Amino acid sequence: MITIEFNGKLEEIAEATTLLEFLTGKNLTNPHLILELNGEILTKDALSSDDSPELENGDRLNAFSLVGGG
Amino acid sequence: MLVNPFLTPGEQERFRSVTIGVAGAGGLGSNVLMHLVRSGLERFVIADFDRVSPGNLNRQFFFQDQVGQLKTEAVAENLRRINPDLSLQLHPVRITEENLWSVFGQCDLLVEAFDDAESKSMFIRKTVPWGRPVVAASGLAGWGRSNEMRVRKVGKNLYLVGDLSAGVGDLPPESPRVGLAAALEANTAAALILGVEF
Repeated sequence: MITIEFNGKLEEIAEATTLLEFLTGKNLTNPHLILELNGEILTKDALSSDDSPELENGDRLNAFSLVGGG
Repeated sequence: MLVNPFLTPGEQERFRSVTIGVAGAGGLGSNVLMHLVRSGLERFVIADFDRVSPGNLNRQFFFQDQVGQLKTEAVAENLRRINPDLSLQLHPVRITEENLWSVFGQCDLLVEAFDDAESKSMFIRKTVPWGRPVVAASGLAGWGRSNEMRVRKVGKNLYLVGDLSAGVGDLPPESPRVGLAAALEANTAAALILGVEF
């Protein structure tokens, strides 16, 4: 197991979990998410099944939902 | 024209020298622009394809006699009543990935003021890599819960305003909360231009 910080809380997850697998497990299905990994905003490719990176011990991940209204 | 007598000469110069891009001139954009013009900013690029409709008047900076006008034209008219000396570049077009750079490429700071989540997402993803500050909003519908409205810095140059949850799919867009979000966007943009804490 490895430990990551997700939205400010520590979580234990299996080694070699990809970002996509992690978010799917969290049921984060909003297609308009802004993802920040270790202080960098991720591009959409990070969620494609081919290019989703594996999470590493100590990673800090934040997910922000975009909802309509303006 | 000097509309804000409280600025120092240095702040005045700073505000006059920057160009702000505002994507959308509805509930967020029209009110963000009103705040920034009152603050003393003078140069804007404004894009919105839509026209003022009667249902916009519950929250947008327009008036009854402007129903039917292009929002870009109507907002320009209202802003010039505050400061006649503005430099406004108006684009009555729908913003897409293809025209984003030609419309906003010259701007020093970008304000996302669309109403649908898909456009917000596209705008943020495409403009953040430009490296300039991007101020965006998510979650501003309904009433109350004022204290859940906040500003978060995401990555190096994205500033996200709102509660991140109250969308217009579930709740109505109403003036006080849309206005709070617009004021937070304007306040963040002004602070970033002045180099003070956002």
